[in-house]
Amino acid sequence: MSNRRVRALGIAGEGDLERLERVGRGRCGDVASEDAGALARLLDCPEASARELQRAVRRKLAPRPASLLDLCRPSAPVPFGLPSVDTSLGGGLPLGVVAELAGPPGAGKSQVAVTLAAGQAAIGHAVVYVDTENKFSPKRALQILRESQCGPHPEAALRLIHVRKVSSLRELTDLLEDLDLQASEIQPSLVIIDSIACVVRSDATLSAVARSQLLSGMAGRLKQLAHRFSLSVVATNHIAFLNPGGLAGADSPPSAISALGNTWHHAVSFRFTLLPMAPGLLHGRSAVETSAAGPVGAPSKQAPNLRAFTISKSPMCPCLTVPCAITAAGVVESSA
Amino acid sequence: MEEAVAHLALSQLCPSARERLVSAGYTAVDDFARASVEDLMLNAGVTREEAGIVLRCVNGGWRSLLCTDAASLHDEAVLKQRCTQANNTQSSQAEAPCTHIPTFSQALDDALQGGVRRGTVTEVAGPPGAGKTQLAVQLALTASLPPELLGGIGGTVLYVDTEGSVMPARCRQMARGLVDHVRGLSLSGSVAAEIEAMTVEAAVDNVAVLRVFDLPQLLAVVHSLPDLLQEAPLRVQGKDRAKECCLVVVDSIAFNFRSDASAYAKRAQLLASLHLALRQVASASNAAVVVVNQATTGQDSQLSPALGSLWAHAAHTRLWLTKRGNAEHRVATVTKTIDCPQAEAVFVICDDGVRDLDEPPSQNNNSRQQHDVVAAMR
Repeated sequence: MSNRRVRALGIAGEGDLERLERVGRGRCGDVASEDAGALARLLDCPEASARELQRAVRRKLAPRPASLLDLCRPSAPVPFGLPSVDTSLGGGLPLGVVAELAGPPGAGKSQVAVTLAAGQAAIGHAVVYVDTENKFSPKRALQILRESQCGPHPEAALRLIHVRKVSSLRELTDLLEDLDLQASEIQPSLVIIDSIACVVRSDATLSAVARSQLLSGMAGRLKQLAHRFSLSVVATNHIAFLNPGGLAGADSPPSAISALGNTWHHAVSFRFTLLPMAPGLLHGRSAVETSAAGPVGAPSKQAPNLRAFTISKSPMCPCLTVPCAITAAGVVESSA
Repeated sequence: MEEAVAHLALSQLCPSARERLVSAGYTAVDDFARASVEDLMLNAGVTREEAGIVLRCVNGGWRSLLCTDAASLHDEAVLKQRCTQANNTQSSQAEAPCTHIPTFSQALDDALQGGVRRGTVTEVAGPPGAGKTQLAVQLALTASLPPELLGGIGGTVLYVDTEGSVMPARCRQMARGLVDHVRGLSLSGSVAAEIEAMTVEAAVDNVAVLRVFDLPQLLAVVHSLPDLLQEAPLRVQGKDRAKECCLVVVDSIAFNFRSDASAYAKRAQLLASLHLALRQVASASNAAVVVVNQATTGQDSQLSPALGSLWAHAAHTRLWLTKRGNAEHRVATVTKTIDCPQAEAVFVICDDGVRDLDEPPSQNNNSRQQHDVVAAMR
């Protein structure tokens, strides 16, 4: 909407329009965010009339209010396949949101991603799987579809998962622009980016400020995509440990924080963490605290396939940790 | 004084005409003394119209200082008219106008001396997951309570959502918690009828949501607030009185600024214009304005509110929210206030919404509320 030309609104005179377009500020967004004095100088008119024009443009640019009651539309959320998590979320991840799944290397984030994709494909919904690390395995996806007995044609379901490979930040941003066009044809219910941390962190030319602005901009575009096409976006992220445990004399326990910084953490609506299961978890301590007790990223000896899936930020429900296991049928809840 | 008059007179013209007059030597009020329209046309090369405007303004003297441009006059007049109407209706019903919107946590209301104050700008900042949106939604639902009940206002709410963080199913859940709590009070008398009439749908319908996707749209919305506040559905006919907007929430103001790299250089100027616009809306319409802000890591690795020191002066009251220990406990620190001491309050966010620490859960158990959420999503 901000990209619409002021000319199309039919509220400004020809002379003003020409002056605006000559300096490349002929879009609604430019006029709305300009300072009134600068606009007056640009259009060579009294400040009062510049303000009038700006007011009219802003009025057109502002969206119409919708009653919250009208927004309570029934929709089919995206289930994780972990019953406790899905019940807590009210059926699954809601549509129209951007979520993050973070974990140390080897935790199983890609497994959760493939399980999610297979789950949606099994019920006939298309999925766009953006693979930045070149590790998507169609064989594994087919295995999950077969084992979970979704229906008579797992191969047909596999075709609903559209895989896109990107290897740099520029390719990712280009892809997101393309998705705007493709999404109306494919009509996916889920977009997975595995992993977003990989492409962002590998770009050495970005300063910290530029990186956080880029991420925030990307989050904004993802949210627009999610809202416009009623789909969910799940992006996997790395976990970085601030001060690794085991250093002699370290008093404070190692703190696990997800990579990509504060701005990205604010931008996502839901945050899930996947960590290797540690013994203390069953007694109710938080997943992050107990993983601090053992070496980073190493699964416990007693249960090498067990993971702790935590809902760490959710506007829908309180935080929750659920034990789960990586099996042939994907990531399933464990009763251990 | 005279400088101001001359400046104002010249500002009524377009910049090129202004420059022509200034380079011809017409800069101060004395220069225009005994000058006629023809003189100005000859000496400075301005048109008859432009010369007329300047001379009228200069000769009007101090009176012209009181005229501002039509647009801002219109805004102020509209808002003041509505405010007077509201005051008249309220005083005719012999009710003291409600000055605060309660948060449903007694501890937090005590720290804020009654709740979020109307007519002022309150900022709620905190790290991700602290509960800022939850608190904002709770305030939006509480504002719908009738004035006789628990300090409600009986007004409508405008919720500007820049992050897509408003989850309709969660709002329904909190509205149900609100309605159950009110029904559980078993009040009688005139409010009993109001309580009977309260439904989850009515509470949720009271909130108008504006979804904003980028920075120019956010600026457009904030600057158009005086117009938006007086259009339906924000002005609806209630049973006895016209409902007016009593709360405006901007959730969050930081997201669009942080996503828009091109606006970085103009950030200070844009924030200043937003700050002014929000304060004007708050005071003219007597609505409470709640602005949600994000957190940023400062140089000492401590978290602090985002958007810098300039924005720090924008709000009348500032709250800093953090999680504490047990997952659902929240600590709110009032860091900037108008008239109350800086205080801290602890509350919880549960299925029903924002509540005090030691409050028992509502009569309906959790499984029923989960069922509501699931039903709403199908």
